Amino acid sequence: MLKNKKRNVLVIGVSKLGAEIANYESFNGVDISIIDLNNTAFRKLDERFSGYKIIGNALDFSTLRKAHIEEATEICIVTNDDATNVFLTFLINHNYSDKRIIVRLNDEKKIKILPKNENITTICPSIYSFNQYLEERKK
Amino acid sequence: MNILICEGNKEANYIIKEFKRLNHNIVVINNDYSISQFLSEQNAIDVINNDPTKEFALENAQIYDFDFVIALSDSDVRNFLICQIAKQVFHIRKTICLVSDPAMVSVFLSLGIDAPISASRNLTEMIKGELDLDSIVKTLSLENEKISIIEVEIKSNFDCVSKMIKDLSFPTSGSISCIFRDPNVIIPHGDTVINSNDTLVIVSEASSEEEIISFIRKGKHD
Repeated sequence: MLKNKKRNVLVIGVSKLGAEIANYESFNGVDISIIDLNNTAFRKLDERFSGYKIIGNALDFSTLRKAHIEEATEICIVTNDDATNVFLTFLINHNYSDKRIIVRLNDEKKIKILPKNENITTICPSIYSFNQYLEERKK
Repeated sequence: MNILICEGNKEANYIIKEFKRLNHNIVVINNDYSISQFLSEQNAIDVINNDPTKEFALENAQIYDFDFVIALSDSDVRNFLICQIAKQVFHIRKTICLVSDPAMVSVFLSLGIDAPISASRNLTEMIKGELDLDSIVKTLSLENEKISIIEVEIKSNFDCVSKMIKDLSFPTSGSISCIFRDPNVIIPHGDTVINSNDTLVIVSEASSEEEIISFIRKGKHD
């Protein structure tokens, strides 16, 4: 990712994490689009959220295009379903291997099957929670 | 051969029956309890009731270095995940899966699934084949529609009748693999003469299917 290029973030899935990311980036003036299958999921977004909301299936490439995936510099794949997240990581990496992908996986065992590309980062709640636990124990 | 069958219901039942009959070693994993019971009772085999997208479930099934995995779930992304885990973690040689969306076939192929199968696409092709019955041509596609097998019945008014194959200037993109001349099956050579009422079985590149059919029926190379 070029440092001087304006950040443009595409979030796939209005999960709690997806909504958190979208609100945060939007408040920081980052260009943002967010996709979800379900219209009601967008209620999780803050009323001051100022990005694009796209209702549609991200597995369908036309939805990704509608969400301006070409212009995105970072893509956060954070639906609640690991299988969907794994597939989307493969699909997007295959077509846009130079874009930064951040993917959430609930099952850390699936990290090792993701495509080998340094642009892909995984967020794994159980690992973070465990590290947090270790931190707390030190106190 | 060692075959892992994941998910599915009635189609899984049929596949299990068929592979069992052929004496293959089968391991079946299904996440649904009642379907697992059904498959187990129908086929007198052990069915592992667990989620095949979880590594530990496959780990317990001892399926390292199996020959095939067949993923039959209703969800395309689950099938994709099962195949990727099977291939990358358990080194299963060939991954076969069902895709509900025909457009996903080429996507799955490009993402490393060996054989994605679209039931609706195959069904459509078969129906189209049946509709072609009147025109006495049947076709079958293999290798994701790269290869066609064409079956043509030869009518007396076709230009190729009573000619030797070597004199036909048959399109190079296809070859007559077999002639059925009731009750005999003939493997043709250049000097084999084509008769009326023969049925030709032709293997061709899928892109040349139309050209070959019209060549046989008209006898002129267009």
